[in-house]
Amino acid sequence: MSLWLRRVFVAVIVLGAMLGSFLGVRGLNQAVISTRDLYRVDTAGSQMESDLEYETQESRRAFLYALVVTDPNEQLPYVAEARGASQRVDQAVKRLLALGVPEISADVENFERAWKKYDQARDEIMALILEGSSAAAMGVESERGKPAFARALASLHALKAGFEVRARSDSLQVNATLWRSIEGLAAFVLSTFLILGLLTKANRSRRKALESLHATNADLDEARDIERKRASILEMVSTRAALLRTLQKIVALTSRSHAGVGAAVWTGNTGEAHFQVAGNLPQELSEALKLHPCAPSGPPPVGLEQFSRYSGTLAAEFAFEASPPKELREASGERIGILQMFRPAGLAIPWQPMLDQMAQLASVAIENSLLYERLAFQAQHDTLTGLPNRLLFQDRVQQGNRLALRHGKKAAVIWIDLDKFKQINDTLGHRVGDEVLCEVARRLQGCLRQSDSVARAGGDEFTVLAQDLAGPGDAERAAATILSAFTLPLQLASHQITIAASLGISMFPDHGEDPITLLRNADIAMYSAKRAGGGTFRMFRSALSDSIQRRVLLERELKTALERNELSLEYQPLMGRNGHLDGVEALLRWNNPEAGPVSPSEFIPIAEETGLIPSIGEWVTRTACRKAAQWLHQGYDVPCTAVNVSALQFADGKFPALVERILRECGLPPSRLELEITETALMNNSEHVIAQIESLRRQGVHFAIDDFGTGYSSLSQLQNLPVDIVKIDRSFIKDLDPKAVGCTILVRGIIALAHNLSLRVVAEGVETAQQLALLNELGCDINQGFFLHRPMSVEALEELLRAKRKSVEDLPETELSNLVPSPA
Amino acid sequence: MPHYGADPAGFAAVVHQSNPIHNLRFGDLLSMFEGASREWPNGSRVVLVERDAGSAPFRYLIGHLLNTTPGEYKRSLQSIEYRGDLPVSIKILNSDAVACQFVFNVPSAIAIVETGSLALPACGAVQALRIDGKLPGEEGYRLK
Repeated sequence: MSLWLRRVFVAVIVLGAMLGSFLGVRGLNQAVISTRDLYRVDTAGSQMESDLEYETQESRRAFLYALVVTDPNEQLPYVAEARGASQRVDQAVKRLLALGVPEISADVENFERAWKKYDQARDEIMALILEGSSAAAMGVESERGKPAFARALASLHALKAGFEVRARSDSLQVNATLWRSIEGLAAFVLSTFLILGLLTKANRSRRKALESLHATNADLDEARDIERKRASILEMVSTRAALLRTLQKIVALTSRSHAGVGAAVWTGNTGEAHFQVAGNLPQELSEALKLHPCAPSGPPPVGLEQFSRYSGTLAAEFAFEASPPKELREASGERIGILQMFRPAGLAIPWQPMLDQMAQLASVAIENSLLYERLAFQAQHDTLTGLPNRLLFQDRVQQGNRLALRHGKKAAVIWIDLDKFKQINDTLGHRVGDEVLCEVARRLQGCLRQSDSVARAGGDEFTVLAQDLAGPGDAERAAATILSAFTLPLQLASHQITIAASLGISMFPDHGEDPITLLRNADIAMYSAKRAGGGTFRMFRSALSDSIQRRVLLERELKTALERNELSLEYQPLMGRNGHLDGVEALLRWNNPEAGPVSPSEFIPIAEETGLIPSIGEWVTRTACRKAAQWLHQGYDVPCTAVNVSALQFADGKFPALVERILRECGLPPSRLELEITETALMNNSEHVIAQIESLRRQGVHFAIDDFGTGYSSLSQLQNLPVDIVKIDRSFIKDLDPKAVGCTILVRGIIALAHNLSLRVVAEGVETAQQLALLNELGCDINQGFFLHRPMSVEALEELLRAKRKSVEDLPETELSNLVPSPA
Repeated sequence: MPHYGADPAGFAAVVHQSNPIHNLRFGDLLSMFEGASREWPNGSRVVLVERDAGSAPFRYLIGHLLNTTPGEYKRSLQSIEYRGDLPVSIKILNSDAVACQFVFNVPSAIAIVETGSLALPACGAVQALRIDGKLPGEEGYRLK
């Protein structure tokens, strides 16, 4: 029966019981009332009636006595007695009337009337007797007294008969009331039994519930205790308590649930199992478990099934049973350990709940321990090669220096930079580059002494700490050993690569007493080796040129120049033959707080060598395009903005897509962008670069060949280059002199040839009026140089533009439509 | 009930409560007890209630009121009967209480009792007459 049905049933029973109780009580109450009425009316009434009859007779008797006595002194007591009885008769009548019983009221009143008449007659008779008029008295007695008394008696009898009728009626009523009360009482008793029954049942259920609750509370207490221990264990895990101590706590949990039950934990991934702890087990069994075949000292690793079989056999020797081994796994699913429980033979308790609970805790503890180990390792090691990183290396240098001082020895820091490693990355990809680095790390570790340390400083740079040296000679021998490690080609999975390295050496304490100085000086020495052609080593000398140190500085600073907003653009106007603005060339500037303003000719090669040029080039292109679009929106007359690009920006083949994206983002029509690439770069990467240039030209972007004439291409090759503009190198313009026929002929030839190929010509480095005049005479289309305009800031250029504002309404319709940036 | 004072020497004439006479002249009282006046104004016969011979009321009646002797008084009453007149009805009772009871039961009766007996329960149901307008205990009351 469902709970709600049971509740409805109980409610009906209780209501029935309450109704029965009510009826019973009401019946009883009615019975009491009826009985009380019976007593009050019938019993009391009957008594009164009896009293009345008695007093009537007494009154009559006393009166008669008075009649027969002649002495007034004797008569008077009888008279008084008769009067007293008569008064009591009156009182009895009043009490009967006060009962308020309708059935007898008439009879009482009849009697009262009759009695009064008798009373009057009697008083009259008595007065006559007392006066001594006996004869008159007897006459009145026979005439009125006696008949009156007879009538009074008749009334009295009628009253008595009425009482009897009334008593019978009351008796019947009382009987009926009693029956009703019996029925009510029966209902009451039945209800009481029912309620008692229900209460007993409810009490029993409640007792059972309480017993169950007590049991549940006990379970809860135990669960809370275990939960507290779990929390304590998790806290140990989070506070990086020793793994062994945490595991001991975990296996101790077994005794909490079942006495005599123990557990053991092994750590290690698949095929390994290093015994860690055993808890709640006999000492002999614990010792035996340490010698499990899976232990490092035991036979080769075995499978889980074999592990289980062996544990089972071992446990049986000590009268124990072993649970199935529970594999502990980390979040990635990799096995990190094994948990096994042991119970005394014959003790039937379920394995699974406790096994699962402990396994979860043990997994978390071991996984966290491993995680912390890995994090600690990663904080001090290079993730790719596993070698110590620069931080750990500096620490080791510090320790090595202390040892050297203590033993009166020297130590050396060797900086190793792989030659042309960037080319490997660029041409074969980063994956191969990473393989090379890993192989180099292995070779370095293989060729050094146990006491030496090798680390990866970053990129393709490694550092070595050689200790216990007698002098620079030992350090040079160590460097030679390292170089010899690169003589054999590197055998990679897919490639065989020959690689060389440049090494720089700094000695402790001769070249520095702290790790930072020693590393910096070794780096400088390495540059010296690099400048010597690579594949060699150099010992640091304080006399090493400042240029190397500046180069090291610039390389270090350039890496963060973009982040620190140290780069900026200046613009130099390109003027048409008729004097109008034909465009501007964006020129990159770098102002470093330590190195000061750095010339592009100085830092661009560094950017190219260090692989920074793509990000710097992208920044230049985006900044120039954004500004050009802004000018266009503001109505400034800047037909075209020229940006220099490096051949290295074409290396990954993604340059056209990048430019298109920038143009789209900035809302600049492609025809307003001109990209300048050097003749040398174009020649060295002809096919790869040319394909990308043609792609961009098809979009409308103009291309100019920069510094034309400095390379080694012949004029005849000009027709094969996918460019729109030829920029004659400033060296030709500088020497341009009407009197210097040779140079003029050369410039004239270039211009003529370009024009024949429908190319426009820009002369760079125009510094004098004569040069400008001659160039105009030769038909040069555009001139650029200090004579016309020096490179200037954005603000200065905009001032110039305002002077030469040209209304944007003059622009062709097609360009206006391109002003709106695309949704992408 | 009126307060009559506590004069032990005083006497009162008491009649039935229903008796319409409330005030009696002293001479009429004497006339009743002498037997000269034998009916009440309503025609009913006067019943004289007297105490026994040794009692104070009887002595007062004979010695003070009637100024005679018991024998003389007896003879005076008998002479009335001998004359053929309606005899005087006299009842001799043993105590004031009984006398009062008698008066209580006989509407035409009149009794002389001691004033002190008026406080008895038996005398509570009778009325004491004013004599010449004075109640017992009042100044000028004659029955003392």
